[in-house]
Amino acid sequence: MEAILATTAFALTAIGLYGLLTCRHMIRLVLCFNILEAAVLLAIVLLAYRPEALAPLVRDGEHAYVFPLPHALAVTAIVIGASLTALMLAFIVRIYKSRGTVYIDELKEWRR
Amino acid sequence: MKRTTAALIVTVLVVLAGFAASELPSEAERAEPVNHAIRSLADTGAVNAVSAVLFDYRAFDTLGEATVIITTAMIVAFLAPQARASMLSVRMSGIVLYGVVLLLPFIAVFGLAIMLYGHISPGGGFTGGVVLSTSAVLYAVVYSAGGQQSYVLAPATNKMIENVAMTAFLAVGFFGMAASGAFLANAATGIGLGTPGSLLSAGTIPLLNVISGLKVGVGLAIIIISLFLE
Amino acid sequence: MTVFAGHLPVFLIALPLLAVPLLYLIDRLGANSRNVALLFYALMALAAGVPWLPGFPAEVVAEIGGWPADIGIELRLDALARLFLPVVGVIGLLGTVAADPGEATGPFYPLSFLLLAGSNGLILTNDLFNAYVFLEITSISSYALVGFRRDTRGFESGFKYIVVGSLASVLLLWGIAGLYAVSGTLAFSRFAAALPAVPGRAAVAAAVLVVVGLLTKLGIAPFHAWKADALAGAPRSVAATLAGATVSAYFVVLVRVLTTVPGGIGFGLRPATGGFFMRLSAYVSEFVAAGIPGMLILLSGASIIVGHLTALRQTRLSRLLAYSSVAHFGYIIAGVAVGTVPALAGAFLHAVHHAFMKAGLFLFIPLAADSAERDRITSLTCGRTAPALVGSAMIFLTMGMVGIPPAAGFASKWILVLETARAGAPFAAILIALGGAIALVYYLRLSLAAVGRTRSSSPRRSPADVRVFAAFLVCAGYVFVAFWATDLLAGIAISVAETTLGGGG
Repeated sequence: MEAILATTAFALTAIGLYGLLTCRHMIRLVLCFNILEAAVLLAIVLLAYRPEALAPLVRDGEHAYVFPLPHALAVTAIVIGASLTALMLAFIVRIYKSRGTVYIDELKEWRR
Repeated sequence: MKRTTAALIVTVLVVLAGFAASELPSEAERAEPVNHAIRSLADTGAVNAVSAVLFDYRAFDTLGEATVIITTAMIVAFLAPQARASMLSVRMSGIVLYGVVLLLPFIAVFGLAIMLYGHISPGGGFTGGVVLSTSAVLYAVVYSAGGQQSYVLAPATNKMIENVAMTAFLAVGFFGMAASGAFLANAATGIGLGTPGSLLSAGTIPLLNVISGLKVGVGLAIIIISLFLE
Repeated sequence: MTVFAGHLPVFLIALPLLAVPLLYLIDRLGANSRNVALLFYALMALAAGVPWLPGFPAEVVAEIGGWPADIGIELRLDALARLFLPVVGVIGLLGTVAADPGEATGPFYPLSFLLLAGSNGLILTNDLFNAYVFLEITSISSYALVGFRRDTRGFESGFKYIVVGSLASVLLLWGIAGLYAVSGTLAFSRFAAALPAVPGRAAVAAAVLVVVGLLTKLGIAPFHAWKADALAGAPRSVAATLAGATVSAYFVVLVRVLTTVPGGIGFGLRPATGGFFMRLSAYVSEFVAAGIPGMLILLSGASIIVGHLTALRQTRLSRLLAYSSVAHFGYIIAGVAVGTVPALAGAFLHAVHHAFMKAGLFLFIPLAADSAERDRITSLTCGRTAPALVGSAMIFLTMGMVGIPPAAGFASKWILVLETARAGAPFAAILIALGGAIALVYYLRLSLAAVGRTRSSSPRRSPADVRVFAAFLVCAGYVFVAFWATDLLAGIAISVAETTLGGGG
């Protein structure tokens, strides 16, 4: 199970990187970034996993619990990723308004 | 970039990553990291160990991430000032308009419950804040269609809540500093952790839950509404 | 004193954050928040200098929430932080003071404070993930400031900056996850104990990801493509802050990672040797054996070459300066990579000098160009306020960039050339020396173009002009004073390098 999820994380990273390198559509770039972000979040949450352990709602000292730290890191990373996405979208909206394009190879500043 | 080049680069990187990951130390030979869940109940009084990490052990990260949301809200509101609902020009039908009004209290209560019970059950400030922001976004989307703007809270009010929440978070931090000498200290300030599992327990954690929930909720509402009503 | 000293690291981060609601309140009351913002920023810059007061403890550790580093987060004001905090504070202050009042509207001052809080946090934190959070605060504020003019150029370069920066943060996050997976800790001060002295493949790969992410944020070749666009699209005062203060904070985190994660520098690993003309196979094996320092020295060489050669072809001053930054960070990273105490000291010294020189030259642009858009080198003048003084100060700053005495850049570059050669990287030493020669060509072109021409149109003098003028002269003055204080500064840098290497290894 862990191996499958870890492979998924690597595969998602590969897909995201490939997309980031090949896409010319700005919205797709944002989506690729989100795929990359999802992949790394999957990897982080996977670090918390221990077999046979319970979700970290601690009632007593008798059970083994999964590690809460990676979950907390994941929450933080999600919020930061969402902020970056929002920022990118805001920039795209402004670029579209002034240039009328969503393709990066039609941007003048990028070709020097 | 050419597709083949990109595919080649990605393949090489993935092979390298797999090669590196194949050597990850096994459970036995790795130094076992600290499991906060073992000690969080005694240290912080919070049943939800993730909340204990987020709002006590690593509350400084949380301060930083709430700051990120506020920064983004500030920037998006500045870069994409709310003008009118250019994306939706149709008027919503009466079913949608009344349905949303009926839904709003439920969404708001659900969000508040997730926020307030963050230290004893799954959830917390961030999740609750996101749920709260959906109610604001839903209202703005539905009622701003057709040109005029309507908000649950005016943009100026949102901004004020954000700044108040930021001040409150820092105030909780400085309170810890004054009471025990450590910024954002919780149990060490002597405020009492209460009975684990009850609503008023875990010291400053519920307070920080509400504060960061407000920050995230209002921040996301500003961001999404700005992008939508641009 | 000791109680206050223990809280200083927290104040240096929390007070700039508190400035955001404070400025909001002042705006709400209808008052002009600019003067309050500048005063508050000046206070923060002064506070950054407090650790230099006599009687201040050598190292201050502030545990957030009272939790030690393995459970929570702690802030550590050590020698490295003490050296770079004033640099970030003072250059940030100069950039903020010099901001054009027409551009510094809306959330400009709050964003400046967030940039300061993020940079201070990066310098002070002892926790890798916390550093990531502060890195994002800093980056997001700088993305916004790059696009702050709300013109097409700003948005396009801002978007490029965001895409590259986001990719860098994803890499960094992967690296952080990897380091946590192999070591079970996130605190810089605990990596050495948690990892074997000769780390395995997984640990090295994770460290490489972190380092590459940070190098992208610094703008080292081949991850430098965003830098010229970002710095050319940004308002000038912001460019000065980004090129001087923010990169210094990123650099500090890079040094912390390299000196604390096994496989970095100063862990008894062989430093990279510069057998450039060796057989390829021998070179490859040598390179692999050299690990992260080997990678750094290769990238620094690429940065020096690419940076200088691209700068040579630029027609706009802001882009020229940005590419020159790429090359100079190449010098600095070369010094870091060889990893001996004197070389590291040279790198620190050059990082500080470069921050002031580059900030000064970016502040020259608003003095020399008619408008922010027109910074073509051939159309520059020496401004309308005291052109002789501005011209000579500019020439002095470029002398510092090239490394000609009596300007401060000379000594640090001299140390870097000598020490990289002595530590077995003659290739890097040759490149640093050659880089100066190329830089001489394009800076001469700049000086010849600008000097002797005064601006004839619009003799009106705006208050902003005076402030830019003052900030520019402060940078030039630093470069002048720092040359005569080289002995003192080099001594400080060497003690910082000793503590940094000793503390980690």
